[in-house]
Amino acid sequence: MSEYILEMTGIEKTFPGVKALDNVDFKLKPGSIHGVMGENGAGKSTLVKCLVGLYQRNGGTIIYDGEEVNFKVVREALAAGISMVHQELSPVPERSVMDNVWLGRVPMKGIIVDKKKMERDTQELFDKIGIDNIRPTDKMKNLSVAKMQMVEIAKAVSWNSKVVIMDEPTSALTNREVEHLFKILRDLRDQGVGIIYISHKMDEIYEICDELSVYRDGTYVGSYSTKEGAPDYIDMNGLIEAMVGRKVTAMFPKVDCEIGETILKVENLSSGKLFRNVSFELRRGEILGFAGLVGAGRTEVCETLFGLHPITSGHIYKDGVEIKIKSPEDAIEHKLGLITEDRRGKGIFGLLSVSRNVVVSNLKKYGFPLRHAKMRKDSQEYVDKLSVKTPSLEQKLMNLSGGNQQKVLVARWLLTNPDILIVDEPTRGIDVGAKSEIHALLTQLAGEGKGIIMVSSELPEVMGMSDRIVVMHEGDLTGIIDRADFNVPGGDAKLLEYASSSKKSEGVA
Amino acid sequence: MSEKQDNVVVRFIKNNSIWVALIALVALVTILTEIKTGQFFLSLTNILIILNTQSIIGILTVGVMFPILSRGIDLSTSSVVAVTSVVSATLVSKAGAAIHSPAKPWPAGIVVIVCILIGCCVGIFNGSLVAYTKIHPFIATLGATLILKGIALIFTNAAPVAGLSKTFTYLGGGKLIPRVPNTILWMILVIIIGGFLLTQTRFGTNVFAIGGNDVAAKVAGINVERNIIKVYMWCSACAALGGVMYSASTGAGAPTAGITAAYELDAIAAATVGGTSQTGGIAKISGVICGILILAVINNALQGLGVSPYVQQIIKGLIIIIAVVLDMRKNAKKA
Repeated sequence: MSEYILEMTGIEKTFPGVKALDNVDFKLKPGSIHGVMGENGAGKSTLVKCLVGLYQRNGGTIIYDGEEVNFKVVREALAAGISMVHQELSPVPERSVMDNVWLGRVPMKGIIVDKKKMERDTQELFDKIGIDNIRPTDKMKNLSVAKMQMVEIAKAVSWNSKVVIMDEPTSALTNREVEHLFKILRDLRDQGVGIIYISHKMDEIYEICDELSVYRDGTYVGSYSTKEGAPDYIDMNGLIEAMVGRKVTAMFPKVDCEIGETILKVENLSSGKLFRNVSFELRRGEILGFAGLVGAGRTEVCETLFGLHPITSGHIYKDGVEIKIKSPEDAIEHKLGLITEDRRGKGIFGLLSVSRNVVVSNLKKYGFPLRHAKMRKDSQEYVDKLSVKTPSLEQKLMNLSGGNQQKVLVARWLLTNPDILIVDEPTRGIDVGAKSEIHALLTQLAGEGKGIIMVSSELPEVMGMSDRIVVMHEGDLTGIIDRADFNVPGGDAKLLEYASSSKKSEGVA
Repeated sequence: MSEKQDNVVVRFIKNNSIWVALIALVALVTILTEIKTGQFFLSLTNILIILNTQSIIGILTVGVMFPILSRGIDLSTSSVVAVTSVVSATLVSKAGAAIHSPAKPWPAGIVVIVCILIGCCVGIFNGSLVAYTKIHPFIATLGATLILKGIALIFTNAAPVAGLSKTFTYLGGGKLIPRVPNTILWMILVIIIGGFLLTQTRFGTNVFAIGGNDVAAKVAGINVERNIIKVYMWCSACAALGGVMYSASTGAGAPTAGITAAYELDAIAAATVGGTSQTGGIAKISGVICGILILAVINNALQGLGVSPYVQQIIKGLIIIIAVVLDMRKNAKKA
């Protein structure tokens, strides 16, 4: 028997026009957590989809548990003991937890579903992997995202899986939830399960993974150890270089810009139950960060400024003049731009071309009938400027990677030439290369005298990029911190304190 | 594009599968007709008959593709046909002359405009319901269907309206171009306008965006509600023109015009067969033209081959289902 539970060698996969995987290898030991790293479009997802039978590979061999396998459908992979927890969960919300776990294979007693056995089995399963805060009979829709994810993991384990694939499992979790997840994963590992862990978050990879493999542009770069001292150890800088293929010099290319006069003033802004009495000022050339935990109301503030939620009280002034914003149209009229957190749900038009996605907020400019040549010229200009990787302007946006989709959204708003750009989690789910490009771009825009509001749940990002940080907690603004106060050792402690308590700082009226 | 594995012919067939299907269908039908009846299916006379019988449904199809593209639906088109058919017929008959001063039938041009305005009102009603109350378009337009049906019957006491003015019937039955009935020209005009709206205007682009992702459309600064209303206005306006054409080509207004033959379903079918996606965001005017033609050929051929009307229904139903399944598979593959 080989020392690997899973050996994929020379995997090839082509889509029309693209070679998604080119002679790619992957080897997984039992009882280990193996990180799969790479930028968006590197082929990580394609690789695991080829494994579980979601895609059919064009070449290469997969040896699993000593035998060559070739799964045609996901069910075959599941039955063989390979299961996958997807990035986007797809629970049946109106059914119970146990119904969700045993979906499609409920235990029967004659022709009746054996509910008792189902509950017992589910509880056993939860005990086995250390889930203690979910009852099998809870309704799925009442669970938090983190708990739903744990149910998904339990479901994966219930197939007696020897290999579990986790695709970006932590993107919607809070720190404590992540810790719980990691504990479960470690337990599983210690029981001999091999775990494939796909993530963009560097620190996580080092915390949870034993080994990692790096992919770039559909090719295999190499496998490394995350344990310091091991011969094939790779440090974080080395890893970034391996992923991007070049040295990324500064993670947060913050340049101090000249801070001009106040461009936006928000006074006691409230929107129903979403948030209350939020006041802050934004100046030209400033990047104003918004920090807080999930549910703090940061996104809601941004969306309200952009006319997506009704303002129940308070005032907004732009350049000293009060403005009324009732809809995104008004906001755009007043030269605001918003890049939403939920890129797929509230940002992109996946079915439309790259070009259409760029010009969609600016169609007035192209007259009647639409001047297509000018639309193409403008989109080409911004596609080039932001180095969006796309085969053509006519490519459907859904075929581009997340980072490139985000750049297209940035291009859309640059074309409207806003004075104020609100970016909500601008780099979520985006690889390091595109991430630093987007950071550089925000800095550049601030340098041009625009005001930037940036919501981010990643502390290093919000602290690295902001001139000041607004901290929120459950719909209240709890503090505004200057760069001088947070850009010091231990500065994050203060931020976290404001974020986790409703105690208001002295500086806030 | 760097697609290299398919050769030119295969790629052409893949990208134009619906046209290939039409050609194959026509070839098949031509052979069958030749064998069965000894007549040439593709004679100019028969082509003109095919187009003429399908022109009203064609006009409705170009209308209804917009709601479908916006991820909605409009079931009320045939009822709009009924209402505008009786209204237009009444205005150009003796009854209309009685409320015109001096007492003569209303000028045909004015009648067309009045009917299109009626269509626009129905569209505003449907569109507002869909846009502001968030009622599912299926239900909203179902309600409108019943209301309009009732209005058409009350308006005429359920009797057809005859005795229409010559200038009016010329609109539909006349031949501006020798041998070509005018309704065909109207259909072509509507197709051109529809294609123009779809590809050359802000409105069309917005509808694609709304159908693809209405929340993103709102964030992008598109006034979703106003555009939805425009979508249903366009659809009902097309249907209104269809109603006028019905009266003008048959020489009488009928309170059940379009309803008994379920024009609205044929129009939805043609738009769907033509690749307009029920999940919104995908449509092409060339595809819709093809969809209209496919349904037209099927209708005509089945009749020509002497297939019983009942069996015709079954065959049509199957063809629509197959077309949609194939189309969905195509779109799913691209995703």
